[in-house]
Amino acid sequence: MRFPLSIWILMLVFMGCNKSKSPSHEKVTEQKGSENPTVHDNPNKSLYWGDTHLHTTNSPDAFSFGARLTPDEAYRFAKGETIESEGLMIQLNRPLDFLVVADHAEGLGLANEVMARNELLMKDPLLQEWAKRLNAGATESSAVGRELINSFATGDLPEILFDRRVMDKVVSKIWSDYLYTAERHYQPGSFTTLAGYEWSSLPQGNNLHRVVVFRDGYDKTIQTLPLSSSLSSDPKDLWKALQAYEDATNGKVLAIPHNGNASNGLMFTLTDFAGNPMTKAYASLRSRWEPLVETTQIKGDSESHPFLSPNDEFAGYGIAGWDMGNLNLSALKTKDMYQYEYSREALKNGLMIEDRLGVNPYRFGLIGSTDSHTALATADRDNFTGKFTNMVNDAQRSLHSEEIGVANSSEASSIRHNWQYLSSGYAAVWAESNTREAIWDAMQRKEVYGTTGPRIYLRFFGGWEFSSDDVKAPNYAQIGYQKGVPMGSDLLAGDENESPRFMLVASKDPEGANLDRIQIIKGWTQDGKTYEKIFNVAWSGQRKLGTDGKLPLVGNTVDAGSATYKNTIGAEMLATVWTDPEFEPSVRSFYYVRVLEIPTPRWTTYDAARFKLELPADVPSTVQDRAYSSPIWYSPN
Amino acid sequence: MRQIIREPLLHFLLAGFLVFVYYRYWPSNSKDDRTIVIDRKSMLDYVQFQSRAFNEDIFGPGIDQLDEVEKQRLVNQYVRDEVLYREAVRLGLDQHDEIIRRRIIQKMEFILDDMKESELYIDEDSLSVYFDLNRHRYTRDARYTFAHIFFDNDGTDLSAYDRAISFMEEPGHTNLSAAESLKYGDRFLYHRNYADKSRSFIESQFGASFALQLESLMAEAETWQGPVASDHGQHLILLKENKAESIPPFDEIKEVVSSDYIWDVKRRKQKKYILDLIKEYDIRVHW
Repeated sequence: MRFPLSIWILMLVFMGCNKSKSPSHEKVTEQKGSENPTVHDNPNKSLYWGDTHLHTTNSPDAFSFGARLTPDEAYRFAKGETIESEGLMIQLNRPLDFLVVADHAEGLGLANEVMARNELLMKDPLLQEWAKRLNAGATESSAVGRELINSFATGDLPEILFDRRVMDKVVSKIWSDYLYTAERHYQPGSFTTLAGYEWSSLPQGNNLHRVVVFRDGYDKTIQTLPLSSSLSSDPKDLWKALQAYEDATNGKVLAIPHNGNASNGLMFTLTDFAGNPMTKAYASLRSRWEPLVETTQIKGDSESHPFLSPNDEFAGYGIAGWDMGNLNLSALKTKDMYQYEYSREALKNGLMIEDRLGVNPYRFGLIGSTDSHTALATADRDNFTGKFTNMVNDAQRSLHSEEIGVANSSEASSIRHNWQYLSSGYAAVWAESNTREAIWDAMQRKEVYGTTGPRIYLRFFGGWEFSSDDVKAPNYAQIGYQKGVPMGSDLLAGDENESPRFMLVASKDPEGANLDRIQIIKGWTQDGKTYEKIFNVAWSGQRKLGTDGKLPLVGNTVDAGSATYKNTIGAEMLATVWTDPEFEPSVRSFYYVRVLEIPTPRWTTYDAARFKLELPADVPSTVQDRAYSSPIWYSPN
Repeated sequence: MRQIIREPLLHFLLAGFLVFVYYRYWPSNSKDDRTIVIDRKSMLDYVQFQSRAFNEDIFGPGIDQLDEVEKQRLVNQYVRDEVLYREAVRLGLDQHDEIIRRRIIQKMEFILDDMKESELYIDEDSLSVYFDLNRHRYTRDARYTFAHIFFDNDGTDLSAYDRAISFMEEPGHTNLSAAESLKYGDRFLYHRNYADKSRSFIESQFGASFALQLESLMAEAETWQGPVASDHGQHLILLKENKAESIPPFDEIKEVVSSDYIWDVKRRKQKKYILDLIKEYDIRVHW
């Protein structure tokens, strides 16, 4: 649930006690820079796992659903420490390598400040009263929520919330605490914290959210403030602010859009935000600031939709519920919106625009992240902690309706259900070392991929000279860099008569399920139209490709009753060198990889087995988790 | 007279009278059922239950500062809840309902859990005693830095072990640098170099017995050692560093220790409290 600041403030329904933990600190003395002798670089890149999109108590919506865990606890949990949430002592079974706490800029930390009676805010009698009543239990705080809605409707919110002289001070304090915590948890070489926030633009309930990620430390990030979308929901204004930050600090920053699936056709339009035809300048800005798209997360997967890709039998992973309407279901979707919402279609449209304008606005890499609002970065099927804190320790959670949809639904028949949340996803980064600079640079050059949760290992190189023996070599990665380019890169045109070759290696999550297959998804544009084709390029067992290029299903070992599966089917590792059999040197195209796991129990199936639940018939009991690589683009000379 | 005594109407009247007396003059029952007492304490409990947070220092002043309108609203809400609750109990809705039973148990556990946290004072000394007693809980995994040359079990006709041995016997091979070693052996599922990786990480990628054998190799070696067997095949190892399992200094993890300590104390208190409650009951097992 994301709204502009004004709505944010009135949505706050406060509960619970004040747990303010802001450390007193006047200055940060130690700056951690790129020079760190203990961190050694791997020229062939190492794989790092993380979440670029995690909310804590600082996010008003998270707060209102009971989140009291702070960024400090979020970092500790991601590092593998045990923390307490909703009466549970919980620990991530495998720590992450990096984390971006990305709380909403709109109302960042404000709820806690009002409750903690921030002196600046207490000058306003209304806020003073709210503070008083917010500390007087749930009944009073719900009443405050209702009053807020009224004062919003009648247009008399406390003026102080729009007074920059006051709010800059309040927000500065919150922002400084926020950055300081990230600084404290940064351990170059073993755990990276990247400063970030979420710009939560939501025109008419249509999701245009971006997560902003900084490369820099406190010395630079303290010179800016998180941009709120309350004044403008136009991404161009965000890019302007990012440019201003870079100009002022010499720092570096990027933005990652997410949930195109809830944008009602606005995320990847052929126009600018105002609806004017896209210009070269606009396209350049978009590709300059937004090198990645978070394509899979808790609120559904936005890789592909069966309506757009009818020949892809694996399209539409985790779209149920999310392809019905916009973020808060205030408007339902029409089918013509899908083409501007899903990543694959955007990658294709990007080529088409590039043909016309010379610039591809949608030249982005793919990652996954959680968007969890619990401060807990969990993405696996068997450790799902839910979207909001009220789902962390609730055996019945999968049976409830999804609260935001119900609250705002424009039609009673279209509601979302909690079971439609996905236990997804993570971002995988190929970087020289586990440092801010190396990880951010890998994001910027798109040498990253996303998974729907499992830590599937994936290498993907494109080139003209790979031999089929190269992928069998022990140092295939080294050869990959020598003879080709890694995921996220441009493949420059080769000899006239050559077809591009791709070297792929995928290994199962060391603690997870075997692999079913590797696919290459090719998209191209010709004569102002776009096309796609799925190639099965490596698979387990003795299956034979059909004449239509389709591969028989891998099978299914899931026992839903006990929520278990067996690795008796599938392969631990799949690898191949694949040559495009239909290559056309004059055609602009891209290639990305999709790796499928064998079927495993869905998170709801684990819940059903653990808590003896009867799930509705339309809840699938198994999933095929997957990895999506960033594309390699081919451009004709 | 006898006839009168046998008269059902009399029985009925008598029974009715008794019922009347019972309900009219049995004070402890009737009054409690139909009286709702509202005082500061009941309201304080109420808002705390509603918030699922128990801290009188915050909620006490909070409810004292409410104005008359706010107080009335709180009272109305409480009265409504209480009346509905009592009516439900009168209808027997709480009986034999497993969900309600579970819920009430949970609630009780929650209250016990939150008991008197504010009164918990932890002094440095008892914390460090606690740390000493529980050192094993803060043990940091061993960490390794190494390069490996992998020989796949299903590589060729020759066994992986034999291939590893004969590779080592070739001149110059025992002293290869990590970078030079990259082009030898077979393709491995995961990485060629592992820098400062924990034992559990190694175990997940190579299997438990490999991690165990790694322990016995000589660290900071300039020469390759092995072969060492894993779940996947045989490995020659250049072990650059072996950081033994360690317990970090107290100061570094004080915060974690202290939250564990609070958790433990709460658990212990809760357990004791429940045991005390159980003592009040006469437990008869017929099973």
